[in-house]
Amino acid sequence: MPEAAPAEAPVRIDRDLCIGAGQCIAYAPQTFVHDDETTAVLREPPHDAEADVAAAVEACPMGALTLRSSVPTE
Amino acid sequence: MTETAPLLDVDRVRELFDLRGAYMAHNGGGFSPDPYPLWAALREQAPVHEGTLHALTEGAEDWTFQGLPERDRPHFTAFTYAACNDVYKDSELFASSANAVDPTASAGVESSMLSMGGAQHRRYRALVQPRFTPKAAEWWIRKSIQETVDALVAHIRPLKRAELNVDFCAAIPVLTITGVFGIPVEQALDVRAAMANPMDVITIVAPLVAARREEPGDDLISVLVQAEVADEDGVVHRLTDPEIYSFCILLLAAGSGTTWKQMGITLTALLQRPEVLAAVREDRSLLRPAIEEALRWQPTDPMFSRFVTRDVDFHGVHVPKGAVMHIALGAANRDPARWERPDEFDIHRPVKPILSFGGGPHICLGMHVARAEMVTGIGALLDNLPNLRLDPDAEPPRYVGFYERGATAIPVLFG
Ligand code: HEM
Ligand code: SF4
Repeated sequence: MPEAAPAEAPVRIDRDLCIGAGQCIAYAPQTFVHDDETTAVLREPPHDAEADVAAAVEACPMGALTLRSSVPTE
Repeated sequence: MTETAPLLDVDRVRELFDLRGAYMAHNGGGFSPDPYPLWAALREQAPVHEGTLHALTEGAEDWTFQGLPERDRPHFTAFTYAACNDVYKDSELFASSANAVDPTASAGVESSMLSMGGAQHRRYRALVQPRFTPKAAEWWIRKSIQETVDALVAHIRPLKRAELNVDFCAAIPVLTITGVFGIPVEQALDVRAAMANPMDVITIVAPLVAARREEPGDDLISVLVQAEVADEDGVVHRLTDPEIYSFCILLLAAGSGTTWKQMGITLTALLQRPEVLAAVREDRSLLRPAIEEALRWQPTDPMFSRFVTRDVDFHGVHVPKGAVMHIALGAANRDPARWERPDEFDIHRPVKPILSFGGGPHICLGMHVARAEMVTGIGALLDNLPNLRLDPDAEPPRYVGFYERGATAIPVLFG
């Protein structure tokens, strides 16, 4: 089931679209991780450079990730 | 470490992995000009051209790869990043095969998930995806990559010189996959040879499948024999033998040649730029960016293809239902709309996704394994072979091949 991400989360994950390909984790390993269904979830707290998170969002082959406008940086 | 030296029969490895030898002739192994300037010109003229990539490329011949030859269909090729990405992202309009796939039919790549679409593809891919995540790459390293790499390096190290493309790069992916399948090292080259004829792969794999059905272990075949998949009607069944064989044939075909050639390409790019090689040796965090940049700049498979499922106006071209759309991802990876100085190999670029592992639902299943093999392999060379350099008295490596590109021999000295 889609988990509502907290309002300040940098990225929204559509769990129905995610196939677990792991591109997000390759580009932003401090922000994304797989749960035990091999579906992406956010790490708490997410902390990658803004550019890496943006790359992860773009790299998702399924378009399952949406960047929120306010991405916290380190 | 295994008692190896030599781990594999080196002459046989050379024969099976010679890019210019007969083994690769069908996909353009002998092609030696640099196709990129031609592809740049085509990309500049239009995002999408009518024709196959080889027909559009001067000097190329009537070679085959995914979506080829298909002589009765019209062919188109996408060249810009935007057009290639759009093909990958719309897997309904651009399907991976012309016909529905019956996974219970005879085993082969045509019956594998590579050819499936939609929900069917998703169900089959989900069975193996957990063993192919970034985290699972650590399992692959422990299970076979590290041991393979250590054994090969131990063999090379005392020699002071080596040919890295075949004697190192080629051996790693075959041994990695066969290791994770639980196929003994002595049979690894038989597997490579058998790939030309899927029935031979089945002969090797069948007894293993039977054994793991009896007693599962910590290997990929055991994952497959225990996997359950729902069919169209929601009825759940264990994978049949042909389904498992198709998975095995796909994994062997997709995972051994690609990573070999990409690792050779990466090493060649570094060895030809001693200052870049020195920087990577000095600061190992640059190895990953170097591998990614080599993937962008010189992907081993510069084209994949899709079947068009309805009439569409696509990036300025009318494309009819039934046509084949070729994705010239090699050209897309050098699109100046996306990268500055795109023809330069520059490991310090800002991070930006590339298309070398494809995109959409069929994005490379093995990409994290491939990255782990290249990081482990090249890292071990840098750790163990001081002053690694191209042999100045030997013929320098060049990039050859068309639908499967790679380096010629990579003769090096060290110590
Ligand atoms: C650097 C090495 C590699 C490159 C460049 C590469 C490239 C690709 C590309 C471009 C695709 C997409 C094909 C398409 O669009 O139709 C693909 C798919 C695939 N690759 Fe790789 N690959 C590599 C290594 C591997 C390895 C090591 C494995 C397995 C261990 C593997 C297994 C697969 C599989 C199973 C698929 C099909 C996925 C699907 O249909 O859902 N690849 N690869
Ligand atoms: S890249 Fe996309 S599909 Fe892959 S795990 Fe991340 S969210 Fe899921």
